[in-house]
Amino acid sequence: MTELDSDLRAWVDAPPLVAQVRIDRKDIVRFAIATGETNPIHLDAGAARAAGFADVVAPPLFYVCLRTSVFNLVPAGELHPEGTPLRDIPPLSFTQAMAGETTAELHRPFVTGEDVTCSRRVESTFTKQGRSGTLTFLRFEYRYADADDEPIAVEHFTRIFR
Amino acid sequence: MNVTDLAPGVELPATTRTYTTVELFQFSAVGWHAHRVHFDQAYTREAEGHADLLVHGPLQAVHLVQWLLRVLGDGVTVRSVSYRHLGVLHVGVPAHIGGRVVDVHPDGTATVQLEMRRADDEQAVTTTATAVISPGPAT
Repeated sequence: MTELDSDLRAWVDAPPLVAQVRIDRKDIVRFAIATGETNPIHLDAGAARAAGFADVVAPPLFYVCLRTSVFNLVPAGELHPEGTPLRDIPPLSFTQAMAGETTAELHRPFVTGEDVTCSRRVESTFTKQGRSGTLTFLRFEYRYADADDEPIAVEHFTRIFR
Repeated sequence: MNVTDLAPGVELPATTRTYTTVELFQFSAVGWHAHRVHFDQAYTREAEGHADLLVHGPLQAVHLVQWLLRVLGDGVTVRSVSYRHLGVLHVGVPAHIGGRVVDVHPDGTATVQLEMRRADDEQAVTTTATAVISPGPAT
């Protein structure tokens, strides 16, 4: 373990990103169509009501598109030429960024019409000496909470920079 | 297959899926995901050195979970899922989707190991996932 340099420390310690969105039926239906979903509770309000829900409900991993649709919504000038937001790139020199493990707790389905607070923070960070040099691990928490601040889904996601 | 058939070691009936460019575009679009390796073939080949467009890792995870629920007839709820991406999957390359039951717990929940791997000559695993499921629909 080595100390993080001050730029990276400041980036890691920055306040969480927070965004509030209302889940539209079309958000869920588009996700369902894009992923080839056939269960009608994700496509049709009548079928969802017949199954006991208030309206169309999202498939279990809907949050993966909610995450990017909320946090990637930056002006074009704030995107890297490769297409990802510049603010997602930590201030450190690296030649490769890799996705580590993702773990998600799925508390309940997202439901049409609800207001969701999405937040992202860096949970922990550490460096490790690998064979090819220093590896920096950043572990993020993405939390999606309802109007009562009860979690709908919580994701922990590690990115590894080499 | 029924949730009551689950026992440690039981293999789930596998399937195969081949991603199309249109699917990758739609998934990028719904997620407002502008990373060019998923839609810009020339950039992906010339700047990143890949053979073709890459299938999003999270999309593979979505399809592993979706397949699990189809196999079990939507009669279960996914409580948690962990996944790792181990290799690249290119558009147009057939992918094998399979899994097996790791454990069935006294409270009725079960741990299932899922895997997507290339079904071409490489046979490389692209995404592995572990899901914890419980009987009964989501509420």
